[in-house]
Amino acid sequence: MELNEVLERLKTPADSLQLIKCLKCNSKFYIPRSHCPKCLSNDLVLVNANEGIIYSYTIIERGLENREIVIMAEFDGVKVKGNFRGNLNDLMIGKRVKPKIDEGGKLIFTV
Amino acid sequence: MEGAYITGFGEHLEKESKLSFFELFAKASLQALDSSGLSLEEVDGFVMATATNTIEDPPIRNLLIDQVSSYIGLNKLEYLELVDIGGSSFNAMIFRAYRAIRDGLATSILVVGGGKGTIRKKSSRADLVTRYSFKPHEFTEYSPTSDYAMIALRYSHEFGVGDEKRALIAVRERGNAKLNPNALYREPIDVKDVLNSPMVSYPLRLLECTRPIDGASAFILTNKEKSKKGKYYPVKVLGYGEFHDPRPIIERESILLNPVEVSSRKAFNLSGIKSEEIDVFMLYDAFTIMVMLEIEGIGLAEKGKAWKFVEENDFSPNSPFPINTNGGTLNTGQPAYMSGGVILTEALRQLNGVASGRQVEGANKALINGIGGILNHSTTIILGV
Repeated sequence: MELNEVLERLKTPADSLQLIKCLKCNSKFYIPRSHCPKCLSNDLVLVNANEGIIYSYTIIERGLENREIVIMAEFDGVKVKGNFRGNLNDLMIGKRVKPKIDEGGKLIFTV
Repeated sequence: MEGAYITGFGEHLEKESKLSFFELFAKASLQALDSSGLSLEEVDGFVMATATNTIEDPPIRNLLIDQVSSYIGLNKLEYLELVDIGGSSFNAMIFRAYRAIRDGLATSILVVGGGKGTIRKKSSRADLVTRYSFKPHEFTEYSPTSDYAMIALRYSHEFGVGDEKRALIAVRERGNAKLNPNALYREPIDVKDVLNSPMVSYPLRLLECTRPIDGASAFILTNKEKSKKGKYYPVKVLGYGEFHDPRPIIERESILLNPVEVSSRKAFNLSGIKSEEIDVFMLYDAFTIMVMLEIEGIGLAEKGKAWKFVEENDFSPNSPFPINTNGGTLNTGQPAYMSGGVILTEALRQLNGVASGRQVEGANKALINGIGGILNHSTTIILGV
């Protein structure tokens, strides 16, 4: 897969997230590349990831126009950052979250 | 490690300056030159660092080093280098200049870094440090603050350390700032004040974050022959180490991977100096959590136990472990999103015995640790007189 093709497909609105999997060494990664950063193979496929676990998070109160919540979630060991929509009481390391790519290609997590 | 000495330094810091980026660089450079006793004609090397988003519009990014060096008035350079590893650039620049002189590539090198940190308010993107070239999805963040906040939260989670432990770093540094007439913030504070200060990016509060300011820090390195011409003692480079993990934090196995462990170990090993022999520690402090990680990385405390060290040591000039004796950049502010120049300058003041009301008695060995990016870079330098 060429990089632009991967980027195009990742931005498509969906109720799941797509990670890149290397068919040679089986490692998965999130930041797109046209080769596997572990074994340099070009034999890559996109795989769905439906449920992640909160690894860390922050609630940004200053610097932006509105409060914004950033979540770092782990999907089978692969870390991903996106924004959270929902109740602040649900923010807890270890809690399960669902990813969603909205119409604008923005990554949103909900519980 | 003989062969080159730091013989001059200068610094120009302002909360918000009317001066241009270029004037700030020139001001600090001419101060450093003056203190070294060298003339501009004697400078045959130039090394610089900045953050390109701290230059007024329109940003000049191609051959920036030509714009800056020629503005200062340099024209016969036998060594020229741009270092681009954020706040850890300063120690790296000193080492690179030292090595160039030692190896005979140049005799006198001007090292300068800084910029206008206040420009961000007007124009910069909120994700200026962590934006990837190939960003799979859009989302809103405020990095570096929001990334260091997530590091702080994860640290608390893994080691069971409460926010009040991290807050004590800010209290200790403020205690030293009281002794520094040039610090922006000098009123004493306690842990409660830190915890009650406005939340910036949970769990980091306002008093745990440095303030972006405008300014530049400059240094002169020269060979033995010319090292006695200035007003300061020639300062030696005794040890150095650096470590880089350029991956974005989400690609690291743990966001608590500590680059300081490798850089400091190399600096100690190369110099043969042990941490007990260091008289002053200047630790990069854009956020309190960085100081916690440095205390552990350098080996002053075990992993997860920096809080205990901070409870037992008050950082003051008279204590066994003087740390950030100028109050750190939490209290002086941080030019160009890089604290490295400000903490290096304080170390040189201490080694020269000119830190007036906060002088560490008989200081002759200093360790300065710089961190760049989101724990992407660490540089440790040990200097001595």
